[in-house]
Amino acid sequence: MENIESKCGKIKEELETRLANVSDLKTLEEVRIEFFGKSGKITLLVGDIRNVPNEQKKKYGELTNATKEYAIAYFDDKKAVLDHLALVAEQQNSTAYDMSVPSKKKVGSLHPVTIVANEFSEIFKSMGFIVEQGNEIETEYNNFEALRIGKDHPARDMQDTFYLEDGRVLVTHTSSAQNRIYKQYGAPVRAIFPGRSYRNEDVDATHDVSFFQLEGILVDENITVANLLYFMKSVFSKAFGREIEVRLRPYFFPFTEPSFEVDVKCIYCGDTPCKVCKETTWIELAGCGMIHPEVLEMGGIDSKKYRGFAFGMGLTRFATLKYGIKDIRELHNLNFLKQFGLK
Amino acid sequence: MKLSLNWLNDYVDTSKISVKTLAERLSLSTAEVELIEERGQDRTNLITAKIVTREAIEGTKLSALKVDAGDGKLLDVVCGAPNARAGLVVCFSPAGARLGEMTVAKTVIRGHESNGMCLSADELGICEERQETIIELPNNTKLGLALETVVGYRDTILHVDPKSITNRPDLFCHYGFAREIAAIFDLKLKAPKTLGVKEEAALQTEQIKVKIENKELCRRYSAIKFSNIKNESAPLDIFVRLNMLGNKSVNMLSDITNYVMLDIGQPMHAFCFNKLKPSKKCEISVEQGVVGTPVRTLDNKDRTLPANALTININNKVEAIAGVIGCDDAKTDENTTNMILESATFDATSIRRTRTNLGVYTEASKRYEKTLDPELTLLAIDRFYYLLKKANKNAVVSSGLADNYPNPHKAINLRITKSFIDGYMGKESKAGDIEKVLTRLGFVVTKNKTEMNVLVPSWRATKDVKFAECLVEEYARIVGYASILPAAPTMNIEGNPQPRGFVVEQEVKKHFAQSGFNEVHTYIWSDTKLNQRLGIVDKSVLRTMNSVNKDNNDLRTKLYSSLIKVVEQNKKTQSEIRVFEIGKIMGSDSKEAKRLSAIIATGEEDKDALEEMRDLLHSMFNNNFNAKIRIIPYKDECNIPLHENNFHINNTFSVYCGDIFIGVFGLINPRIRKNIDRYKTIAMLEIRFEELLGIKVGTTEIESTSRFPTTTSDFTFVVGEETKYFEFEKAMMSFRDEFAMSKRFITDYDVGNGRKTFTVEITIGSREKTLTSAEIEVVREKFVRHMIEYGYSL
Ligand SMILES: [Zn+2]
Repeated sequence: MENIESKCGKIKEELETRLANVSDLKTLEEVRIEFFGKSGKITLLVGDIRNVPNEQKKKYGELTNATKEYAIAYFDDKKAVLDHLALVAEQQNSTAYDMSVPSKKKVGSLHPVTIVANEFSEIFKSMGFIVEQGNEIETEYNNFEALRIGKDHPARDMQDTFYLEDGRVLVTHTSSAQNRIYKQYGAPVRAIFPGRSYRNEDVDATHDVSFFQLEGILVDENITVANLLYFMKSVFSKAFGREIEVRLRPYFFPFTEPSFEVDVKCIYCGDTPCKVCKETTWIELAGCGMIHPEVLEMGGIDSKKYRGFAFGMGLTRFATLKYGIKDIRELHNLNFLKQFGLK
Repeated sequence: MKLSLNWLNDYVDTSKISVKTLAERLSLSTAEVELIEERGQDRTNLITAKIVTREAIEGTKLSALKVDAGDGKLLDVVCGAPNARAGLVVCFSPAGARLGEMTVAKTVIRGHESNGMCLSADELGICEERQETIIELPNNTKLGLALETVVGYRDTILHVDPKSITNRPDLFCHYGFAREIAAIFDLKLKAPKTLGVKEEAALQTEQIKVKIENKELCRRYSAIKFSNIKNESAPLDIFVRLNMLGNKSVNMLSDITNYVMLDIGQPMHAFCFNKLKPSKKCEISVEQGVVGTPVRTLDNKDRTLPANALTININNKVEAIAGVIGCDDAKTDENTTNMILESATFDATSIRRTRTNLGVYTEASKRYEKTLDPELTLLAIDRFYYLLKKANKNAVVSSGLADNYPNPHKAINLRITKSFIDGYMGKESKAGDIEKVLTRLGFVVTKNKTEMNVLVPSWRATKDVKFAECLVEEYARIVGYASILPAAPTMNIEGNPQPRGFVVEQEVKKHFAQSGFNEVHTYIWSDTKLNQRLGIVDKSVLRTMNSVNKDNNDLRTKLYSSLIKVVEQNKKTQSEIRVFEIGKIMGSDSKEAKRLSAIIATGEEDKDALEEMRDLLHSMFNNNFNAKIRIIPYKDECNIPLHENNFHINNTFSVYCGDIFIGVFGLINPRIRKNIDRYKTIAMLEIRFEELLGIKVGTTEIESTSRFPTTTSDFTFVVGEETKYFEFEKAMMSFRDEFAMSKRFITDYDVGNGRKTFTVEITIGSREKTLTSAEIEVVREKFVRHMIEYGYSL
């Protein structure tokens, strides 16, 4: 029996020595056959139980099986190491692709005015406004009279307004949608209506015959100038992503009373006043006012019960400001527009 | 509009307020001050001096002068002005004085020493045009005085944005702004100086008759005659102020009328009485002139009266176009010794139409267009007389004061309460503050227990302040909007449901941008010239009447015509173009309609571009509407043959969603492509955007799946190359079998020799059991037989 014990010990030792020098899976397989194959050393050792006297069979079986288990575990450990090294080697030998090469998928773009309109519409939606859309062609009534711009108001001069043969006009401001929206929704209502306007004037770096605006109205009971100020401040703070100082300046629009221009504290000024605000530290960004009671009445809203405010801002102007566009004509240049690619 | 600070100071003392503060408060309470222009600060050490002797320098126009600058010494000065003469008191810059960029230095001219300059108005910075003559100061002016104490060449000019005050006729003058400043800073407002012309006029026997034919167009006409006039150049202070604000000086009478206009806002006109015929008589009639009547206006131009122009006729002759411009033959000149002064109120609309028709835009018409206060005419006459008397001390009133006022000012009274004002602003006002502020602006406030009655002053009552709401503005702007703090209103919980239009537009735009298209914004009109050149047919149904560019009159009926223009305009720099737009067109029913259009211009094969568009449409409808579309060859769905031949005869396709025609896409007509002459392939699409809003989202049919195993079976049919899939598909879809669960397209393949294949897949299975292979085979055979009946074989 001592003989068997030493035999088992010898085989273990032999396997260990053999595996210590194996560094590839092919040699490992040779070792597997040498020890665990049909006529492998361990297979034979275990099988030799047939020649062992019966009274020794139990002891022999225990000893050889233990040796076999040990040998398998030892072999598997070695195999795991070599498998791992082989996988590493396989990856190391494969092609390393260059994904720093830019995407060849065609990238399109949204117009900067669309981007700005989308941003504002999200802001207004979050404050309970619906997003409506106006016409580009309107009756004189909707574009002018319903906004208290009388027949003889200078704004109705032929040289400023595109008149159509049938007496309608290309809208000169998005306010032209106000009357329709009052009639459609009644009060209370919160709505914005981004859209396009036309002015019959010469094109230069800061004027285009057509530009985009965003008009909005809020009508409810007990609306105040303080409420208007709150919305202007909130909207611009959200648009610029930080708390923005806002002020109202007196202005004149026939359809609001009182009327204001909205200035925001210049966001481009550093320690010294900048060129964007012409060194005034304020930038004018919107016109607004409390809706004139007659305008509400023309829209079928009881001005005794309801009050409201209206505001309008230039989306084109906002886009030029946001992206630092010096010449508005760039907005017609395809190479320029292509830069606003989707992320 | 420009305001002189010196002038404002005649009426309100601003010496304790910095110019910056003044401008800022005006901007925040009245009207935006766009620019503060400092004038004359760069001219220093100037003094008054007197020319003692003058000698001509032979062979030149120059004079050698001896000048007394007040210190008793006589300085040699060379001067080129024709009016340099002994005894004249002048504006003098001694050597060392600064005139803007230049420092005056001692020089020698033609052998004569010169120790300074006698100054003309332009050298003093009063006006821009070069002046021949030097400024003549009054003879009794002390010598050696700092010049700025004698001549107002140092001033601050405030440039005010006129757009913000188009509703304020009272603000187109210095007095109006002085009133605002006094109200804002709570300062005393001084009244304009006058002499009491009424009393003198009452003593006169000679009378001017004024007849007003059209009382709607002339609310008031006041007139008076002045005599003993010596109409030379205007007094220096008037000359300086007019010029500093950019007004040209004409002669004393004309200048004083202009001065009064800039002073208190009333335009006036001076007629030369000496020139009237028949002489010694003045019968004025205000009436609408006969259209086409020739008139020569005082700018020496021959014009004809436009329709409905209001004219001032004196002794039955047109002598002025009311409120716009006077006529040449009664204009004042150096021989005028007697004059008729007009001070009237004309209808704003009538003036605006006439000046537009005439193409003459004067300072007077500008003010009348704002609807002037009729109560102003007599004050203006008084003011004119005061200034005339200062210039011509012998001038006298020589007629009664004619004052025809058929359409008098009507008082406007408004009732307000403190709580109304506070509630509107969203801010509590101090007790008694509203009355105080309104009073400072000229409103007359009377209070009873519950409310205030506010009488609107005449200068605010023409069209400006008519509603109680207007008084909110008056109070709030003067106390300052900065005192109102932002406050959130209580949110109305039941908001309106979000309309879909804008959202769909956003999604569709995003889809196109993600698919490689660049968004553009084009105009609503066609470029007729370009359409003609490229052969684009876009028959307009409606035109604008007054475009700056006559090629832009036609409103487009197709959005893609504008995108073709984008391609044409960018072809030089772009080897490949993909653009899209959602924009408006004019529909044939004269209603505007919204379209989605896209164009691809590439060097690829036609089929590639068409497939790109097809795939784009499928994925758009799939992703954004969860809806399926059908694409079939175009069959004049819009009742227009191939969109008026802008598309390709063989390769134009209609897009349907359900039974609704959504739009077209296809290759551009080769005619247009050849005219553009740059791209191998141009494909375009045009979708009726409004139809997209009508699509019921999620109309794709959902088939329930089976719990039992199903088999998919492929079939490849060989067809002629002219066979259209949609026809093949009809045949396939008409196959019905309880075990044929779904059918779908796999691929097509061109096998050559005029033949191609369609491979389709059928899912065979049952919801009740597992099919045997025999049962499956039966379905396969039935399908093949079905297709053979329709003429399609494997
Ligand atoms: Zn700045």
